[in-house]
This record gives sequence, C-alpha cells and structure tokens, in this order.
Amino acid sequence: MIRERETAWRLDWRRHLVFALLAAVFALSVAGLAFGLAAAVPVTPLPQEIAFALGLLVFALLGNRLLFGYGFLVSYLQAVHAGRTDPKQDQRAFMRSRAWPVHRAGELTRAGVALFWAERLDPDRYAFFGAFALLLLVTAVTALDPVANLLTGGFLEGAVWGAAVPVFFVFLLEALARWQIDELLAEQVIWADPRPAGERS
Amino acid sequence: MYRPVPLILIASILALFIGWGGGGYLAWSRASATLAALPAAPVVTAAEYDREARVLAVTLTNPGLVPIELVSKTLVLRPAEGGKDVALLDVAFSGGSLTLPPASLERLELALEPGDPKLSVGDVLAASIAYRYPEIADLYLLTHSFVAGSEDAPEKDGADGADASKDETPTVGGDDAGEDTR
Repeated sequence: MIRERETAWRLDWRRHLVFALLAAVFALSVAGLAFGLAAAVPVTPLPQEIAFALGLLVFALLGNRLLFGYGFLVSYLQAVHAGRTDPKQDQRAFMRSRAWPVHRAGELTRAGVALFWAERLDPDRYAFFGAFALLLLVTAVTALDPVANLLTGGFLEGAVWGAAVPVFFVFLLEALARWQIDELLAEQVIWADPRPAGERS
Repeated sequence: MYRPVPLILIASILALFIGWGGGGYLAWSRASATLAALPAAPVVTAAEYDREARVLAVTLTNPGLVPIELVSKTLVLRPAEGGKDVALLDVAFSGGSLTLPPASLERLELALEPGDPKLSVGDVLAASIAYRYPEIADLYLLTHSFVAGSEDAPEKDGADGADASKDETPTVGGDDAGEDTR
C-alpha cells in the first residue's frame, strides 16, 4: 500500500516539474552568488569578516564527522520510515553503527541499529557543542570587561556568529535523527508489531 | 507519516535568529568601517582671548576617525568702527604641520605679535585654519570669527589707550608673514 503510493508519487510528472523549477532556482542563486562574489573580490575583506569566515570554517571542519554521520543516519531512517530499505542499505547501516563488536548482523532491529549509530556519534557531538560553548563563554566574559573587549575588538563575536552556522546544522540533523528514532521506537515498542515499518499495512 | 512540526518551528526560529545576528554583525562591521573612512570636518568648540598674553586660544575637535593635518593658520582683525582689515598672522605651524588625531580635542594658541594693534570692543578677530586629509589632495579652510567683548578689550584707560593709538598703523603679520601667502 505504502510502496504503491510511493511509486506512484515518484513517477508523477508534476513532481518532476517542481524539481526542475527548484533546480533552476538553485542554479540561478548559485550563479548570482558567484557573480556577487566575483564583484566582491576587489573589496578588501574586513577583519570582522575574516573572523566570521574563520569561525565558520573551523567549526565546519570540527563538525564534519557529525554533519555526515547524522546526515547518513537521517537518510537511512527516512528510507526505513518510507519502507524502501534493501538488505545492502541495512548492512551498511549496521557497519556504520559500530554495533558489530557486540552484535551479529540481523540480531538487531533497525531502531536498535539506529540507536547504536546515534550513540556512536555522541562523543563527537559532546566535543563539538563543548567547543562552541567554550567559545561562547570566552566571548561573553571578554565582552563583560571594557578593556578586554577593546583588545578583542569584537572579532570573537564574529567567530561566534560564523560558528553558529555549522552548529545550527548539526543541531538540526541530530534533533531530526532523534525524532525519527523516537518515531521508530514508538512504532516498534508501543505497537509491538514485529514486521518492519514498510511491510505493515 | 511522521512530520516533525515542533522541530521545524524551532529550527525556523533558530535560523532566523542566527541569520539576523550574523547578518547584522557583518552589516554593522561593514557600515562602521565605511563611517570610519569618511573624513570629518574639524569643529571649534571654544575660543577665548587672553588679554595679557594677547593670545587667541581656539579649541578644535576632530569628531571623525580620520586624522586631520592642520597646515597653516591666519589671523585677520576687522575693526568695529570702519577701517581696513588687518592681516596679523599667516604662517605655517611649527614643524610644518599639526595633526589632529581621530576623536580628539586640542587647544590651539594663536598669538598676536607685539606690534599688532590692540583689540577694542566689537572688533572681529577671524582665525582661519587650513587643513587637509591623508589621501585627499585638496586643501580646506576653516574660519572662526571671534568678536571681542568688554572683558576681552576693556574701555581704554590711560596707558592702554596710548598704546592702542600708537599701534593704529596696520602692521601686517609677523616676521614671516610674506613667506606663506595663501
């Protein structure tokens, strides 16, 4: 039932039209951004802008593992919810969850695999948000003292705003993954249906 | 099907906050850099005449963030009752020029020469200061008119009056008056 609706929705020509329009808008905005950047190149960047870019770059590098980890987890859970997982995808998820030292393949439900996967990313998440909290703390404390604020010159604030962008995406993906795991657990635990989500009527 | 509505709401609010804050920070830093690059005109905040020392003290402020280079100073006396304007002083500053640092207040003393005429009530002492900015080739002129009051030039008593009548002949400038005629 779900699978048929999914297939029908996937083949709908209107969906193709919407995606073509979105792709055109995306291409136009990328081109506009490129032209805008090309126009902005002769302008000397301000120290504050460099601080913003540095904060964004450093935290994007620091959160790279989390962004991709939660991104793959979210896409796997979406496939699970839509009921279109194949054995290869399940196997890859099992490998990525690092559950294999204690469990054999097929022993765990998909929610269990996802729980292992999310838990594996927890130390990285703790370090990432901890680094952001430390940066926030240092910025707030130096902003309290007028002399220290004069010395740092508002550059720390720029680094915080730049770092807030990857932090926001990590937070969003992690919350989405938790939401999806909770949905899956609710389906499996509360309704106690042994069949996978996709095979239920 | 699941639809994380609270998550979408929280994410939208957070995204608005971060975009507002970060964009505001970038716009603010660009705007303040632009404002800091704009040259400001010097402003005379106070002028007082020291009768004994015969010095007109002018307090100049630089309200902007671009340094102002003071190039030369000129004093012109316009008598209250008729008569011609008398150029008293037209010289460069000692050391070539004087720099007003950004956001500063400086007291500038324009001394009259011993041979210059005495001030009487109603006389106008016009102090002109030529200045320029770094990276701008033009020369600008600031003129402050100081009107002598009764406390600056009291009613002429014996010695003072004799002195004033003696100095009635216009003596142009100081020793280096012809050096800088702008």
